[in-house]
This record gives sequence, structure tokens and C-alpha cells, in this order.
Amino acid sequence: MNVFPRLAVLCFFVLTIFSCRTDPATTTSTSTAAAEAVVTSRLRAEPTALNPLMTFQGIDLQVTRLIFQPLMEYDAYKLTLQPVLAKEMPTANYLKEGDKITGTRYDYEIKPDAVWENGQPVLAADYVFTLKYVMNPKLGGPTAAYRSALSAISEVTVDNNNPRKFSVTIAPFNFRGKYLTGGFPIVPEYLYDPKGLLKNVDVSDLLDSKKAAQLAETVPALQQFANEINTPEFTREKISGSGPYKLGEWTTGERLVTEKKKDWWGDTYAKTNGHFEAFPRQIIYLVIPDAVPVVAMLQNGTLDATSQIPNATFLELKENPNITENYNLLTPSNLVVSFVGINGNSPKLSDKRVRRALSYLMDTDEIIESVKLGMAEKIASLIPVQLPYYDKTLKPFSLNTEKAVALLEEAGWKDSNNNGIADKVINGKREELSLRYMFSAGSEISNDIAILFKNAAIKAGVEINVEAKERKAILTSVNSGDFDLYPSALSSDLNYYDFYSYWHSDGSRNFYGFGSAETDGIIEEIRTTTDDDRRNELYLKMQQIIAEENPVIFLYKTQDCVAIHKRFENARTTVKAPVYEENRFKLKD
Amino acid sequence: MIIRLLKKLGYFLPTLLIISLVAFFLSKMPSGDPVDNYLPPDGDLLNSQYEADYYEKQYIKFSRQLHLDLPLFYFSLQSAAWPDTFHRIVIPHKILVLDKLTGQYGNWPKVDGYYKSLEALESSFFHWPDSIAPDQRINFQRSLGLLKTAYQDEVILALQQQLNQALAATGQSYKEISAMHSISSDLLTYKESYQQLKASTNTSLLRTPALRWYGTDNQYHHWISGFITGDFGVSVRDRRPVFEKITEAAWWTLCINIMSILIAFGLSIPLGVFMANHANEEKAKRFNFFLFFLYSIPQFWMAMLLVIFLTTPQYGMNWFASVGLGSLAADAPFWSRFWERLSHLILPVFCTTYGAIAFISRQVRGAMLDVSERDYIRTAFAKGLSRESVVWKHTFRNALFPLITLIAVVFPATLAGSVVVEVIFNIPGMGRLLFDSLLGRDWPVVFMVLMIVTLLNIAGNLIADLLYTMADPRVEINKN
Repeated sequence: MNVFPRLAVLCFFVLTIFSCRTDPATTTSTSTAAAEAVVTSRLRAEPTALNPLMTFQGIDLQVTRLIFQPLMEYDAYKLTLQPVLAKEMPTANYLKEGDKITGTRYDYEIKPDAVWENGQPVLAADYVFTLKYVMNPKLGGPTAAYRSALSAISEVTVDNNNPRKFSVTIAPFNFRGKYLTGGFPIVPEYLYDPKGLLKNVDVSDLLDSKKAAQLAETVPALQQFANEINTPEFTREKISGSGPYKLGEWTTGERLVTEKKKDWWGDTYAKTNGHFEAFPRQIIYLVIPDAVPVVAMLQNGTLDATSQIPNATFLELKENPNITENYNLLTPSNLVVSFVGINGNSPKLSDKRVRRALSYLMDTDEIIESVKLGMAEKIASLIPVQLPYYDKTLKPFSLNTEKAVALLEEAGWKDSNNNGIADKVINGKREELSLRYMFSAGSEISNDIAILFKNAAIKAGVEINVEAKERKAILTSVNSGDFDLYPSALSSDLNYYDFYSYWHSDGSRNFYGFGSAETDGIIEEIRTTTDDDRRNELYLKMQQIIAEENPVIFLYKTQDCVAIHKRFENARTTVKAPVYEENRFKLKD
Repeated sequence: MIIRLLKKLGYFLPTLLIISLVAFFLSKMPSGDPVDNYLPPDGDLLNSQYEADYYEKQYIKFSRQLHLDLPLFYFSLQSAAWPDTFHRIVIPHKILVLDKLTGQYGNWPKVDGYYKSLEALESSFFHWPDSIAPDQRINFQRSLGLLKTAYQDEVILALQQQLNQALAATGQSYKEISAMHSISSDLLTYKESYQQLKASTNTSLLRTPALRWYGTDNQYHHWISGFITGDFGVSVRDRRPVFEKITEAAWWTLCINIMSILIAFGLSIPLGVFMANHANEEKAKRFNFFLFFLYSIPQFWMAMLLVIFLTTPQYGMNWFASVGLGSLAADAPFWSRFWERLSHLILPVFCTTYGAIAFISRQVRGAMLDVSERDYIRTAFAKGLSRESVVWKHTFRNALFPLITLIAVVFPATLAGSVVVEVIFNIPGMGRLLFDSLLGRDWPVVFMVLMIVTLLNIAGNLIADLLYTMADPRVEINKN
């Protein structure tokens, strides 16, 4: 029986040896990284595809934006369009038939010194190739969504004398056209089509949907290209563009390294254009799904930047001097607005006074304080406040039971049978004001909001039946109009907001029964006018109508919880995803 | 022995079949439409006509690619009212309405005719000129949209009434315009087809069962054939082969669990024997209490305490390497990476081990105490054998049974991984893969992990059975 003490001693010895920690992670990030400007940033999940034309995932785009470049992009801080690969911003040349504007032509020239990773110049041919790639009808998934957006492009003409010059025509006129033609990342033809499969396919044929459908049946090269590009070779291995960084090591589930290209062509533009700022030598992305390791890494300084820290954890971090000494803890807003959609097609909810009463019964102040722990802002419009045409005159609703009761009474809802729930005769039948509130099962925030709403609403005689359902079941109900109230969120970009899909009567996602000839007219005019002032006027008008009609109960605009190490200057946050740009992090002197 | 093995396999194969059926049918139930992963997310750039058309075509295309237009299983037993080709309909709202209407009226040809007349009305509606009564156009369209998902009689009648009113409100003169005329006539046809549907209710068919044979071209057959041939499918998140993802993750889980099992058994067996031999002594009792205490600490809590207290400088005990697997680059010297990774695995291995040590040693202690009271042990002592010899050669050998049972549990656990430990220590093993896949609704990965763990469970039981026979030949004799 001498085995146990011997084993115990051995175990103790082994543990002691390994416990003599060197913690290379700390070394890299704090001392080595400080000297060599390495940024260690967190990814909440493993990237799915590092091909920007095959993904919509924010995690993927956080990395691909360092590797690929578009012709133009919104500056993260100024929120205005800036040329990137384009030599300068294109002017809009309107095409006219008589007085009617039939389209717009944008003339581009690519920067003369722009090159791919192999040193070949970025040419108009690469733009044309990227378009052919996206417009290939054999590609599905995110590429298909890009395709439907880019289907607004009707023609591309390359200048015969200058291979960097080309014109892009959008017809009919599209108010989001400028960014549409230049906002997508350009990929190199030499790398993504080494066999030249799309070489003999004419881009103008692919831009014509009817011809494209014919080509899909008759040109096998399109299918071959789709088969090849859909493999991990082009989503994980051959990842290269004109941007400042190239893909280095990628260890699945652990980390992904991007390395600054030596003598990158864009460095000369860094002083005048923020898109070209690329200070760190390496940006190391660590895949860390859970918050516990994030907190540990922040405490020992092995992580430079992270977003999406859980709200409660973030508040604890703010109280921790060890963290606040080393990190800036920031709460930037994003472009997502949360609301509860109301089914205006339901007879109980078709009266705007009832919908308005419901808005008065949603205690958004309490929700922001107790559910979102202060990490949200009240809203009164679907348009994000950062956009120039946001209507600043609109006031968010606050809890007001008296007003709600008065509005309900005005709409004919009274508790005639003294059961605590308001009722009304609709189509000859007495109906109680009892509403279904569906939300995704498993969402704690949605559950808390639903309970708060239910408790506030019953005081005004509105019974809310909370139903936690599977997402699939909710979507089926919402699509078939079988719902009363359903929490949702809308994400915008910095381009002109398009009301069409959700708020036009023809909009396929108009689940709320919203829309009249007037609002449809406004939405269409927003899309067709070339006068920016007029468009802004229409935006304001539309927001006022939505505020008046109350097709939704506005909840809040979420704030992200971000920590960035104080050793960097320029480490600002932005409304644009991702909320910070690691390439612009510069070590303090 | 071989016959016994084959007999056992004979029991396990049906178990595997049943579990594969459960896994397959479960994989059909979770939230999230598998086709959605192939379709673009919600966008607001398109106009609805193009979009609706586009979505429907794409939906059908990807449904076919995923074999969702095939019957679920080799056969079906359902009411004869449904056609044997019902599975070919893949659009969710269409399935819902056609299913409900067939359930109500039991007359498939009429249900089909009704829906086709509705689709014809929708096609003609698209030609309603924008210039004519735009408000009524909106009302008409709204009711039409709701009709596509309506199946209750009163709802359908109310919506038909709204269609009539919207069309009537445009004014008689518009009927002279061909587009409006065809809408009007298609509306009439549609209403007639609904009346015909209601008039031709065939409830007898609803009560008639029909057994249908579909052959091997069914969803389950494709799925299980893939599993058997090693084609686990492709992840819906990143389109990578599921097999590749599982093998990558399995490496780290195997590393942690094999270390953990070796340490757990290596420590707990002598510990259990020690406690049994000194059962009445104070130090053994204290050990016993300590192990019981250790066993009752939840793993997630222990993991969090270890991470917060022992890997950060906040409490002055920054003794162990931080979470993750280290930061040395792939081209760093092998031994540097090896030691770095090993140092990062100490705490995760401890976390997966401490509970097992406590459990196994208490099992060994119990079994040893039980055996040590037997007559043959007293005989062994009476023969004058040394204490060490009696303990290890007689008592321990006979107390092996509970340990063998544990092997049946431990074997699948080597690959299953611990979600808690891997998530908190940020180790990209099977537990985290399962966790990430569940969050990302990556069902091909989730259900393949489930199948693999099931297989390992079966294999674990099989191995335990064989070990029983080896440890005690009476097991087989008694069986005979």
C-alpha cells in the first residue's frame, strides 16, 4: 500500500512543473505586442467563410474588411462615403428620355497604384469579373442576395484606352445606386477564376435576367464555376485581396491571424483617408464564444478588444479598478432598432387608437433600466438617430395608463362585464381585448419585456397572453397573419433607408397591414426622386405618419458593450459594424 | 466468445437502428428551416414581385438539393385523403393550408383545384394597373395575401367578401379594361372552386387508412446511408464536411479526457483501496468526507472559480496559464508548442478529473469493503498470505466489477466532451462544437455528434460485457 503516496508525490510534482506558468499569451499581448503593435481581438464564433461575396455574417466581414476593398465605403467615424479603390467619388450622370430620368451612369477610375497581393494591378476587368461572379445564376445563398441587389446594374463599359476606367449604369433610376455600384468588395480574377471559366461569358448577358436564365441552362462553365467556388478552398484557403492585410495562420476553433502586407500600396493614402489606416503589424482574432474566458483574459491583459460583453458582466467590469485602469469600457449604439410589431389586419388592432394605447402601456424606461441594464436608448422612429433624415421632433412614448385607457374608451373598448378586460362588439360579436404576444422561446430579454408589458397592460384592461414559441412556429404564424403582437428588430445600413419591403402595401415583409395610397406614394417617391432635399422631406413625413399610425410599439436602440485596451490611440467605436476597426488602432507613444 | 459477441451485436444493431430513427425524426423537428440557411437573409432592396418569385424558386431548388421533396421514410401510414405525392410540396405556407383543407374536406383533387384557382387569381392580380384605384388595389392585395394562408371557413369567407368589396369599389367602368376583367373573372372562378370544395366533402376517405411504399428514395435512407458510408454531410454554417469538423474537435477532447481518465483511475483506485483498508481510521474518514465534498462541487462552478482565481492577477494567484490553448504560432518549435499547450490543459483536465476521482474512489472503497467481508478473503488471511497480496490479488480482483461498469460510461465520454469545461476554458473540442452548433442551428453537426456518441455508448457496453467475462468466467457459465 505504498502506491498511493508515490502517485500523489508524482502528481504534485507534475502539477508543480506545469504550474510554473510562462503564459505565452500574456507575453505576446502585453510586452511583445506592445513593441510590435499586435492587436488581439475577440471573435464570438468561428468565421464561416472568408469570401466576402459568400457571407453576410458579421464575424466573417470583421475579418474580410481587412483583406478586400470596395470602390467606396462609408467612413466609420465621419459616416460619409469615401473613395477606397476608386480614384475619386463618381458623379451621377443622369440618363434622360425627355424630362424623365431613366437611369444613372457612374464613371469610375481605379487608383493607379492599387495592386493585388501578387503585385498585379487592380483593373476594371476585376470589377467586371466580380460582377460576373455575383450575377452567376447558379450561385445561391448570400451570393444570390448580393445578386438581387446588384441586378439594378444594367450595363458596365470598360474604357478601351485605360484599363482602370469604366462606367456603370443603373437603369431605371435607383436612389441607392451610387453605393450599390461601388460598395461591394472587389475580388481578384486571377485567384478566383484561375481556369478562366467566366472569361467567355459576357457580363451584359448576366446582367439581363432573361438572358442569364438562358445562359444558366446552356453554359456549363457557370455551373462549374459555382461548384468550384463553393468549396472550402475559396472560403478558407485562397483568401487574398487588395486590402492591407493577408490571411496568416487559421487554427479552427482557436485563432485566426491577419498580417500586414509589407510595403502595402495603400500606405501612402493613410494620412488623408481613414480607410487606409493600417497600423498593427498583426491582428490576431481569438475565437471565444463565452464571456467567462473573456473576463479572465481582460483581467490578465491578454485581449485587446472585445465587443458584445453581456450587460451584467460589463457593469461588473466597470466596477473593477484592474479593468478600468487598462481598458476603455464603451457603449456604442448600433443601427438596429427593436420594436413590437402589431397586426393591423386584426379587427381588434385595426384602430390606430388601440395601437397607440398599447404604445402607452409599454414601459420602455423600466425595460431599459431593469432588462437592458441601461444599455439601450429610447426611440421614436425606425430610422436610426445617426442618419441625417431622422426626425428629431418625434418624442418616444412613456408609460401612461390613463392616456391608454382614454384612447381605448375613445375607440369603444370598455369593461362592460366587469371582468377586468375591456370589450367591444365587433361584427355583432362581443370581443374581449385579449391579445397574443408571441416571442422566441429561450430569449430571456423577450420574456422579461413580455411580462412587464403584460403587467402594465392589464391595468388598462388589456389582457396579454404571453406565448413563448419556437422560431419556426412564430415565423409560420407571422407569415400567415395569425398573430397580434410580435417583437422584432430592423437593421439598417448607412445608405438611404428603403421603406419598401416592410411598409409598402406590396412589401413582402409588411406583416403589419400598414399602408395606404398616400404612404405607398411617399415610399415610391423616396425611391425615385433625384432631389436630396425633397427626399429628406419625404423621410420626415413618412416617420411622422408611422408615429401617428403606430404600426409598431417602439422599444429601444441597443448599445453594444465594448472593451478596448488603453494602450491604443485611435481606438474609437462606430455605429458601423464591426463597432471598432482594429486596423486603425495605433500604439500610444 | 465470438458467438457471445455476435449475440450481443444482434441486440445492439436494433438499438442503433431505433436511435438512428429517433435522431433522424428529431432532426426534422427543431426550429429553423434548413432551406433558410441557403437563402439570402431578409433584405429590403428588392421589390416584392421579384422577391416572392425569387424566393419561391430558390426555396424549391434548395429543398430538392437537400432531398426535402422526398418522402420521409420507406413507407407511410396515413389517411387515404392525402395524395401519395404530398411530400413534393415544399413551400411551408402551402403545406400548411393544403394539409388543413385536406383534413377538413378530405377531397384532395378539389383542394388542389381550389389552391390553383387562388394562384391564378394572384397571377392576374399582378396586372392590376397602378393607376386604377390604388387604395382598393392595396386592400385587394392584402386580402389575397391572407387568403394564401387561410384555411378556416369563416376567415376565407370574410376575406372573399373583402375581395368582392375592393373590386366593386373600383367602379363598373373598370371592368372594360382587360386586366380588371380577368381579375374579376378569376375571382369568380376562385369563389366557385371554393364552393365546389365545400360541397364535395368526403369524410369517408379521411377515415380510410392507406399504407404507401416509397422504396429507398426517401430522406431517411439518404441520411443513414451517408452515416454508414462516412458521408456525414456538410455543415450548414460553413459548408465544411461534418466529418472534418468532428475529427478536428475530437482531438482536443480526446487529449483532455484520456489524460483525465488515466489520472482519475490512476489516483482513485489506490485511493479507494486505501480508504477501504483503513475504513475505521480517522484519516480515511477525513479523506472520505473530503472526496464527498469534492464530488458535490458543480463542475461549472469549479471551472469558473479556477479561471477567475488562478489565471488572473486580480486575487494574487495568477499561477496557471490563461484560458484557450496558448498563442504560439503554428510554426513555433514543436516542444515549445507542446509544453505551452500542456500548461493550458492542466486546469481543464483537473476540472474533468476531480469529480471522477471522488466518484471512482468511493465506488472502489465500497466494492472493496463488500468483498473484504467474504469467506474466501478470511481464508486467504488464514492461509498466511501477506496483506498486500490479499488486498490486490484477492479483494481487488473481485471488486473490479463496478470499475468495469464505469468503463461502459467512460468510453463514450472520452469523445463526447464536456460542454461546460470546454466553453469556460475556451477549448475547441467536441463539447464546444456541440454548443456552437446548437446555437448556430447547425443540425447536421448536432445529430451526427449524437449518433457518434450513441455508437460509442453501444461500443462501451459491448466492451464492458467482454471485460465482465474476462474478469469473472462465471458470467458466461451462468448465462449458459
